[in-house]
Amino acid sequence: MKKIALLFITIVSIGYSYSAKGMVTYKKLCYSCHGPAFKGAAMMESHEWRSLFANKATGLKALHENSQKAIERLNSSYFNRRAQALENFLINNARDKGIVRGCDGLNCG
Amino acid sequence: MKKILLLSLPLLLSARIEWLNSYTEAIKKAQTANRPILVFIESEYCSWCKKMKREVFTKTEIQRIINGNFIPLKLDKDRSSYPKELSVKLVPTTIFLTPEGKKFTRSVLGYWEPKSYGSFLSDAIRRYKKFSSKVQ
Ligand code: HEC
Repeated sequence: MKKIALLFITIVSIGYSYSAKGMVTYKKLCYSCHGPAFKGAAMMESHEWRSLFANKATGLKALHENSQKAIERLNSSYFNRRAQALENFLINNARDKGIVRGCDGLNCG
Repeated sequence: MKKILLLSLPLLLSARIEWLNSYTEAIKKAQTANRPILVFIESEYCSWCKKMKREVFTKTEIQRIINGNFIPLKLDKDRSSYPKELSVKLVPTTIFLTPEGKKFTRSVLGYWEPKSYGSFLSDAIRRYKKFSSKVQ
């Protein structure tokens, strides 16, 4: 029983640190131009993030071709090492996935 | 006189938001001013809408962005009359329209604190500049 609990805690904390890592990456690379992390993630739907990050983030780089500063960041080794964590964070908090703070009928989430 | 006007400009821009309540009036005003419309859609029993009005639209930075760039229009989801393209599932929703009444970028869904909301507004302004330069 204890073992199972321990395993559970480990899995949850790995999952948590993974998304925390993605959020830290966002803050370092994207925050200065796109604002707070959850807002940044909510700019796109999860399937759009998936396609922007496909093929070594070709789509994401293409979106930024007019911004030298953004391109530098997207070509950095820091980005390459953390792209997967960043993608996971953005997908988990995308427009269609994140918690929306609004009212739908009489139900206010 | 000119100096006084110039000095009071920042003050004027950060004055409270003068929401219009009529869609047709907003379109008319937007066409005269050649500005996009920010439509804030709320409803009576919407706590998040009230929170937006209390905590976001009262901030001078947000007021400055809205007053300097948009024609602000506030609609009640259930009571106002508006074209069906503006129907929403969720309140609050913020929609951005060209002076002709066309959506030119994604809407902002739900409540966002001032920093995030301001960032969404900057995105919309950027998109509008791009959009209108393509059209003309
Ligand atoms: C130096 C500023 C800068 C940085 C840093 C930056 N971006 Fe951007 N980003 C822009 C600009 C400017 C645009 C708009 C491009 C256009 O419309 O031509 C943009 C557009 C986007 C878009 C498309 C938005 C839309 O409305 O179509 C996404 C998504 C995006 N960026 C994600 C990111 C992510 C994720 C990061 C971090 C890895 C990032 N950006 C870093 C400046 C930046």
